[in-house]
Amino acid sequence: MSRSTKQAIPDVKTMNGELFTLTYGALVVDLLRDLESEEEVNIQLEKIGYNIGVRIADDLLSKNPNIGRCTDTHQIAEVISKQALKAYLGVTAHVSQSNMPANEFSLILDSNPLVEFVEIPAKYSKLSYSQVICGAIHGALEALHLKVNASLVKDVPDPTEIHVKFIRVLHEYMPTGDED
Amino acid sequence: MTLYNLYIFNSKGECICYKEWRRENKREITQEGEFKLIYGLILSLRSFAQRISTKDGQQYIKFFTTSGYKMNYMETATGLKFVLNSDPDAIGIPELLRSIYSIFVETVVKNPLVTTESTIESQLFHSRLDSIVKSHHSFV
Repeated sequence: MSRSTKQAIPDVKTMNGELFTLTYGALVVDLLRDLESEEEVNIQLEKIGYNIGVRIADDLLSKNPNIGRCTDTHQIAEVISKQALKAYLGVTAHVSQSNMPANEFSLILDSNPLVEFVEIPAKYSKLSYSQVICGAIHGALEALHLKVNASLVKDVPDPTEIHVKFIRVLHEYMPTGDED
Repeated sequence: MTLYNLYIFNSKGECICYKEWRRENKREITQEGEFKLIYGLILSLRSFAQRISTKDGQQYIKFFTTSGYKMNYMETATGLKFVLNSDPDAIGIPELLRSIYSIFVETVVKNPLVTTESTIESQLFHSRLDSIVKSHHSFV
């Protein structure tokens, strides 16, 4: 059917990468100015990321009907690193699972567009600059009923490394008083 | 061939969109009751399909058919459920459901000021939904 083949190509809108990087930088600087501590900024960035993630999950699924159900953490890692990060950050990550339990993995972004122009001064050493990505991974997987912990291991000046730990599958909501 | 009506349920089981195009019979129960009935049916069908299966792995319900209509079903990993009643002979419905999902994402999910928890009020969503359904080749 010609109709279905036509709809299979999603419209990808592009924007200037530098504009995106600088906008994010301005946001982080503004948060640093408004809030008292770097920890507080990290929490806010996590929240922003979470809110993005919850909605972005649907967007990714509607544009990529070929993404199937994942049965283990390795598949989850593959989809995040090869498809999700590619779609929203324009880069891919590689997955490292060495010396880790089966339910954990690390994503390493060799080039992270968010930190392209960033050098963190010593007084902001506690700032997790790319925390927003962790929040987005956390939110997106939660929308798919997967509870995970995502934390930033390393950031500027090293390549960004995000550690993800799978916790449990969240159960789908059932109406009360329904026997199943 | 024709398309009758559409229900969209969010992950909490609330009907966030109901549309009807060619519905000849008036419903005998309240609208609220009908939503609950449909949602209950879907959950039961799903657990039935899973239990009766002789194969490993998740089973998905795609549709069920009677002599008079076909209930088409699509569920996303995020827990959204789309139910579209059509004529038994209607074709191209899975593709139509996917397009409805895209419209939903474009007009509702991507709008940060709108929650996905309550009934969809977006005019843009309703008008685009209406036009895609009415221009579908099974809608006569």
